[in-house]
Amino acid sequence: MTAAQAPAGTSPSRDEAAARRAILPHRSYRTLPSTATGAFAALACTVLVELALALYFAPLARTLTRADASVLQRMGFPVGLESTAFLGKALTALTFTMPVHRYLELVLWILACLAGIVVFTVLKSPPAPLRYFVNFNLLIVCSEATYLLFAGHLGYSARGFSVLMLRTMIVTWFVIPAFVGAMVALFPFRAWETAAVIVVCVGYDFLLEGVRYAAFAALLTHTGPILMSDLFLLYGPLLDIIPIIGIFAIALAYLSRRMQTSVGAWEWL
Amino acid sequence: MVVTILHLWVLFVIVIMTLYAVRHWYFTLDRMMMRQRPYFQDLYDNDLPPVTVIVPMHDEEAVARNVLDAIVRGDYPHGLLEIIPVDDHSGDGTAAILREYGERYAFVKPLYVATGLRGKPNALNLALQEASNEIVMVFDADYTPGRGILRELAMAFVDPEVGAVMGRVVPQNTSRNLLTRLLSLERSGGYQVDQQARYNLDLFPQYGGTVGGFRRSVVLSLHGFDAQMLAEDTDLTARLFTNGWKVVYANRAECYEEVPISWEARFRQLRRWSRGHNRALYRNISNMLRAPRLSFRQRCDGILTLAVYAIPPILLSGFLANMLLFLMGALSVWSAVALGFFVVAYSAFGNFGPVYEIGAAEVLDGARQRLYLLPYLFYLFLFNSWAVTSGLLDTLGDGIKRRSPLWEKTTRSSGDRNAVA
Repeated sequence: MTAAQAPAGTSPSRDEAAARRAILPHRSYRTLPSTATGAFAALACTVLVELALALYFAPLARTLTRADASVLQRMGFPVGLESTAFLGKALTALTFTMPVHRYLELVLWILACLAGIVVFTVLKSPPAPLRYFVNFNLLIVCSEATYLLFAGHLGYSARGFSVLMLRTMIVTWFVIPAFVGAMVALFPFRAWETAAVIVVCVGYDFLLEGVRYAAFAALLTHTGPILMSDLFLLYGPLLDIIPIIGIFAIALAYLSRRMQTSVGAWEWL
Repeated sequence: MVVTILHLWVLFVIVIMTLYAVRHWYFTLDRMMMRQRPYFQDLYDNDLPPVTVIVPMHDEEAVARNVLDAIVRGDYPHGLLEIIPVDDHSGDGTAAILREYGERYAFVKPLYVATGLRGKPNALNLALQEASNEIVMVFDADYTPGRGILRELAMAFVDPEVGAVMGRVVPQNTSRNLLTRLLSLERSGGYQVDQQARYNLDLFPQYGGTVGGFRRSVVLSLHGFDAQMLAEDTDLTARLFTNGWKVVYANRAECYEEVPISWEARFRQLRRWSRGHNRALYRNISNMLRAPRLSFRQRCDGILTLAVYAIPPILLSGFLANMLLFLMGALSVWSAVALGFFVVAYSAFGNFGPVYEIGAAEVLDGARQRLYLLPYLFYLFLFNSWAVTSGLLDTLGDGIKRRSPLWEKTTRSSGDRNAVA
């Protein structure tokens, strides 16, 4: 029985669904109906989230910092809080102390990193990108150890690093809605989907930033400044964006599924 | 003083990356939602021109039969077809296979090159001397041309202003491993969105040299291919544009390729591309700036396209500048965040597509599962950056030492023909 013969009120047959799929334009000829609504939704949502952030970033950052300090103190880490300011707002930053590296210790770090770089260059496994990433980490630590050996101290103290992390956290919050908004504006998401993607990305980043700030403070309390630049450069803002692209990818996969089952979603060239 | 210079350099990198980000954002917008420029499909029933197909081969016994069979079994009338497979200094059984096809089909005319220079540009030059038709198509030996691809490509030459045409490359061994899947993402972004948008906007679509064709007389009038050039396709594109010819892109003309399956092979391929592209940039940039027939938009797009393989080293240098600023305690928070976003968004350097462009291509292709791999593109960042930077250093070395680059063949993984994307 074809769909045309099916009694009214019943769902379309599998044949009909297959026929609908079959007449989707070839991928070379596909394009999407122009929807200014989606772009406006993305713009409006981005502006709203940015406004909300502008109004509430300070209390939000203070709350996260206090929560971090509370958790770390319960775990026995010697951390405290101190006042600072950014973008005209009063904030609180974590304070902690770091052990000082001796010269022999720095030389050992340098030798260990160089040995590691040689080993990972010679090895054929794990896969090349992973080896390159490990080597890049080792190179940064080695550079920092060399700098410490000659300069005696880094440009950032524990306090300076803490303030830098806090400021980076806030700047990232402001950049994410604009970045995600610009990306989702390109796709025919519904208005609520656009809003959801932007809000989920920002919400996820609040959590990540909070956890990471505490983790960095805890780690540096033990290791000293030797890992400071590696942590910031490779596990700082870079780490925020990778999962955001993951969220974006999930949203696109959802959109793609909808497009594949909806004939009217596509236009020919 | 040092801090100021580093800050200025980081600012320069951010400006360059912003320029590319905006350009590709607009390309994506154009491909997704704006009116697409039709190809020459409506002329499908027009008279077909006689065509010569050149397939350069070096040690290709594993794939030679596949590509020749695909061309012979295509729907192009055999009476209008001439195939010149070039055995370029092969040490394996390639010559025997070509001889066999030459005996079986009158229109297959193998060319054997055993002396002189080795490499694709030289093979093409020699084959052009033998070709008897004005329209010449070129396929790489590890490619599988689709059945109707010659018709699709040949139709473009009805337009007398068209000097070259490029088809779409689709990987056919996508499901082999993570690398092939990631390369498939790159290819989709590069062709489905980037090339099509540049064609739509009448900018600088690139003749890629592996799936396309050109007018023989035009290429000969431009003195053929430079035998020292590793990116002879990019060089030809630039020379065609600066001499007033059009290059068009045929999104429907799909050809299936075997992408590298090992990281080592991919590294060598990317390094070779970078070396060739940067040489093409050096050679053509002044002509591009002065060419009277190019519009301002075409000129800008041409330079940005030629410069794509100079960008990863620049981005990497911005990252290193930030590291120095960090060590000195003078890092700008805004630049650290901005560079972080650019590094992740621009991890696919093979075809230089940012993540949103690749996502758009996969939505258009309906390849839903592959979308989940988008965050993995970051996995390629350091690998790609170093491969491309090595290629740039090779180019500089070539210039300083006045040496000629050797043609290095990409390792094939013959017979691995899993799912067609």
